[in-house]
Amino acid sequence: MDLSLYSDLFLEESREHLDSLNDHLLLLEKDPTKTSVLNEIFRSAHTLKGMAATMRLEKTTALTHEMETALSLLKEGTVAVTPQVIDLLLKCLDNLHLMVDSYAERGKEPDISLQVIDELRKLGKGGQHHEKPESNDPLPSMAKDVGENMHTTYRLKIELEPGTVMKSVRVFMVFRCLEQFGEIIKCVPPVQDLEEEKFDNCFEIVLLSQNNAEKIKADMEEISEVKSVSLTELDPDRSSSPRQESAQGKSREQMGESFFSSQHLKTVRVAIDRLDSLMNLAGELVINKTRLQKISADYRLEDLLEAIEQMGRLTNSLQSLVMKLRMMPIKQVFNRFPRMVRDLSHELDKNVELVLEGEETELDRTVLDEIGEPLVHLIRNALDHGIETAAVRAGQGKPKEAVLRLAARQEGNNVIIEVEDDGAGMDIAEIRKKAVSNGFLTSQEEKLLDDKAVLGVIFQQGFSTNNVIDDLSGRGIGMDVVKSKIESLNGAIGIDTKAGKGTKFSISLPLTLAIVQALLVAVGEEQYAIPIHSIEQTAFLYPEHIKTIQNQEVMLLREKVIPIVRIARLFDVPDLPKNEELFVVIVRKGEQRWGLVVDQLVGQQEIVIKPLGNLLSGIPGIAGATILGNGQVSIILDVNSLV
Amino acid sequence: MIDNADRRLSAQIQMVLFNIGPNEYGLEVDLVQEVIRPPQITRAPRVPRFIKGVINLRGSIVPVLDVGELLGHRSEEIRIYKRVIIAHQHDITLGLLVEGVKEVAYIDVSSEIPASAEQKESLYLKGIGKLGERLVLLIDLAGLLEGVQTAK
Repeated sequence: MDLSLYSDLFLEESREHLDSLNDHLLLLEKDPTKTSVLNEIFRSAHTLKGMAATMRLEKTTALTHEMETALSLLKEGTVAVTPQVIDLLLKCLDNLHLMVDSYAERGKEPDISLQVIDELRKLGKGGQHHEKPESNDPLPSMAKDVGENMHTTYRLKIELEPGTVMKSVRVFMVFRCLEQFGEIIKCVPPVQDLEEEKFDNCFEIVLLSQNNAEKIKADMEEISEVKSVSLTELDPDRSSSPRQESAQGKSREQMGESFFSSQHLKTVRVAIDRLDSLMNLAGELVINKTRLQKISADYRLEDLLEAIEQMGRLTNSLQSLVMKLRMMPIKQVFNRFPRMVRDLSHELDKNVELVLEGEETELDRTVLDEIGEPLVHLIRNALDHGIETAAVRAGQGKPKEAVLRLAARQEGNNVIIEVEDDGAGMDIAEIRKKAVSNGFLTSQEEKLLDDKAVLGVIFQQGFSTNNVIDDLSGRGIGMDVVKSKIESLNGAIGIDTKAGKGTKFSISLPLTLAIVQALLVAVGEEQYAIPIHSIEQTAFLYPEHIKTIQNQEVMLLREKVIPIVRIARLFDVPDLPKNEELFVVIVRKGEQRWGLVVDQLVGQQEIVIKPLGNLLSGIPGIAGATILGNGQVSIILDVNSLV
Repeated sequence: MIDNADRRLSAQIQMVLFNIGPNEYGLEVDLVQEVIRPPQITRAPRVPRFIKGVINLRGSIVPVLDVGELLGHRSEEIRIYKRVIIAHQHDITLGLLVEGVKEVAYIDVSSEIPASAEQKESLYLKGIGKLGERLVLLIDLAGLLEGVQTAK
């Protein structure tokens, strides 16, 4: 059998189990007495072992086998669940991640030695254990049950879940699993047919094995999508009447707990580009509806108009449903932080409790993929510089355990993510001093700006906190990167800090990158769209109020001088009308403000951003294009690269 | 000269034949997705002159090129574009504005570029073909796309 066929399935499933291992290990650390959590960990390790063996990943198999052995010691209570044990198991998890990633990239396991295996083996030393940890010795303890070198012949009847998609994979996994117990003598239908999926959901195998029935059955039932296994002993010497054990009842019960629970069966994985084309089609439908509407209005076809209105409602709900399909809970990103905070706080010897809120808040896939990195940065900074050591906190009368809060919530068309710590906060007076001495602000500016504006320097590139680091919280390393990342997602970031009390970063992100609110403006005969999030305000402008300073046209807005750009000139728009009055759209570009001069403001509407295609990508000042309700294409401006 | 070219005939290729100005051109049929009537074209700012703008092709944005201009035809020639050939190469889809699409035909192709072709034009041609007595200039779409990228 060609294993590569199954590698995607293997990768997906093993990643799910690794995630589950991670979550449950952290839960176990909080409450070491919880056996249900321990069982869950054991199950994941065991399933991983089975899958890895199937894929012939020897190191992964060996490691998970050792993990299993160690975990069974924990289950028995022979070894206590100590932080050291959890550390060790997490280390194993890291190694497993490495191996799975390596398999994903290169199709093989990495060339590393697994020292954790030795450490795992040491765990068992001293305690009485039933299983010898050496992996090359296939379960010798089981031999006791059936007698030395006594083989038993079993007939196994295996039933797969109805609706199993890749039956041949499961069959393969069953075979691999059974091979570790003994020799497969016969199977019905023959292997050929099983491989070609020429069978219903049942097949039978005759196995010669030294192991006892329970062990075999239990292992078989761990294989995903195996509905039931029944085992009959055929050896007349061992028992006069065939012992039949139906696993039906038990297996159902297990199914309910395992990740192949009913909830799992109700979901379907879909490639994101299929969703994209679905969204495209839905958008097309809306545009066509608008055309029909116009035709029926032109010809005064009342009946048609009514029918189209109904269709309009349907297309709208279709569109919003498709949008929802692309949304994923932010939990996906938050998931990695408990482990990260745990490790970092151990490393820095700080006592931190991570509080996660609003994990169910949903964001577009594309935004979700990008937001992890800036959050890692902010959390790292908070732990590194914001939160004090327990000793310092005690000295200041703060609770010993610091709280790091990571919260997400939806506000209108935005998602707000907050990273808040109750650490040392930032000393604004100190930042003012540093900003002036390092040339980020002139002393004049420093006097004029309020605290919030001064904090903005933290996001400036090169605002080195190195010399600040000793006396205040010392944030700012790479904060410019965080800011630009968030801005590239059409988002914004703000800080709120109080010396001695803590710091809060608030990130605001659009629900989706694909749809934005935009202002449509007219220049000559042409229409352009400007995303609302970069617009500060709009105003009238009389041509005579435009002044020129050093070859740059400017205008005055509330006593502030703002440079202006005429879109008509910038884009060489033909057929310009003579206007008595113009409109100006004030946009933000970083800390700067610019006025974009246009002929008319057409109105605000939701637009779907579409790329201009490979041939025209990278034109400065253009973010893409959108199709308006009448089917016409309108260019979307990118304020950041416009001038 | 025609006699010479005759001997060099190499293969028969199925081509979409169209005309711009006085010339007849051909594009391999595999590269052509469809031929449409020109929809409304939205001008794209800050691009070379031969990019006429973008159109809405059933929900995707497709750039449209004035091939005559790119081939260096004199701009005072009045060209009335009645068709857009939607072509694609690798992951790029684009529209070519042409005056008319005549037919799809198998034509004999030689790799010789006619001496009469102007310098600029020859950059985007990869050969000459013959259909009866008619001469057909073969568009090199890959070369054309390269030309667009450099011009940008």
